[in-house]
Amino acid sequence: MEIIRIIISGLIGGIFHLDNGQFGQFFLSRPTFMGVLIGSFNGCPVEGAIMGILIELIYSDFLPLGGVVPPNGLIASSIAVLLYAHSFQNMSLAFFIAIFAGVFYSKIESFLRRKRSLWNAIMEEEIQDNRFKINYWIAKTFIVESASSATFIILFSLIFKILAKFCNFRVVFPITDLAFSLVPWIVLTALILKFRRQVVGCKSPKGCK
Amino acid sequence: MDRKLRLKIFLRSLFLQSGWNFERFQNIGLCFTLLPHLKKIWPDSTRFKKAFLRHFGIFNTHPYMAGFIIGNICSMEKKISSAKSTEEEEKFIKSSVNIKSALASSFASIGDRIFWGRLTPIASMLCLIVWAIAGFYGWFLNYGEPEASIYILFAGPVSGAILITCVSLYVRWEGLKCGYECGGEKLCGLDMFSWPKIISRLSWIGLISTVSIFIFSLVLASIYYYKNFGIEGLIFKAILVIAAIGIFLIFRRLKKSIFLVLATVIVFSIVVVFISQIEGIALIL
Repeated sequence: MEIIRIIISGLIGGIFHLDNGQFGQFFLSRPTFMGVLIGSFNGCPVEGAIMGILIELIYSDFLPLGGVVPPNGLIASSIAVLLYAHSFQNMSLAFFIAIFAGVFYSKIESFLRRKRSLWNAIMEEEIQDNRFKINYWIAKTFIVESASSATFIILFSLIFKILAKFCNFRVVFPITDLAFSLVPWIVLTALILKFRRQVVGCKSPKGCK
Repeated sequence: MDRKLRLKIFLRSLFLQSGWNFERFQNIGLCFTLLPHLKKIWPDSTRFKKAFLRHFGIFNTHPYMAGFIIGNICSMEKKISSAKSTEEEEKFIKSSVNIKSALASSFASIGDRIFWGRLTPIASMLCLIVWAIAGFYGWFLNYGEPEASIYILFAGPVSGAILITCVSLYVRWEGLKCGYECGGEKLCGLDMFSWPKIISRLSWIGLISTVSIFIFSLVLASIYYYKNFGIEGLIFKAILVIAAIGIFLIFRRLKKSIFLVLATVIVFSIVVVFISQIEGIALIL
């Protein structure tokens, strides 16, 4: 039953991942929303919300400028909830592992984007031959992106579910619990500094005017 | 541009980021967006092909601000299609390419500052404010078993999503209209709003909301620790929080990533947990 829940959660994550970079960007793929959504499905909405908002605040330190692929908050929050619900029953360890997972997935996203560069030449050839299949390529992007994120969420969660059976992760709980309790203060300080820099920047003669 | 075609292009512009690649960035999404307009103004297949390939090159801008550039391209393409001579057509094509790339980078910069740099963290703050009003403080007081109704939990992120979505849809829709109306002008859309003023105001809103949330959380956490662990517990926790913020400030000054800060906080926690298990010191703590 737990495995089925992990698979369905992964599929939900895969679908919502499309909002992240393929269609709309309506903020439904933000970590807090996904944390509550996946958490509700797995019986831990409160924990999902807590881990989701902290992941969102940490990742808001990154700006997706130009070609930079930021850490994936949706992947991180989905995995955090699944690790909490099905592997550790401890928020702090699930949270720190999920932070790493979100960063790791951004490397996969970069790889997919690099691979898509090869499509340009093929598409140009098709256009020259009067074969306009742009809808096909858009659909292919959707399927590849959705499938890769869903697979990553499911595999990552299953690996840790198996590991949790053989390893005693409880030993590290006091450490991660303490570190986790300090995270809100760090992220709020980071945000205050960020906004303060923006405000001061706009006041200076070289600022936004 | 008639309303039906504008709506079509607007809906297609939601797919702008699909097919994003490192070689030409949003070129696939842009061509997908422009398709109905190009088909309409270039009935001849050879010329349509040429126009399509013209926009299949490098294109990268902020997805929410793309409406301004897409509207501009549509207007320029119409001008190109109604050119009276080949020279005039080439002149229009050249200026269309130049204006497109200049506007794309200008709007990317504005969009990054407004949406990614300010509105996104403000949406997170809005979520925390909604939760605070509804009485859910679990995100910083996560001891025991924090409780909240599912509606309250969803209300936080949904309010942020509504804020960003309303603003972004408005900018996308109006940008398309504005871009089409002033198509071909170098400053097209850049003077539609006072962008620096908006950016400055958003920075202030962000700063005020974040500082308010910080102070509110600090006061509430202090009361909680004092009530549950006494003055010693409060002082011990305050020292830990100050140390963690100190670690962050040092790393920020050194321009290091927040992940390095988190890793150092974990190492710091190992030390604290280890020390607190030593007999004698544990009693003091």
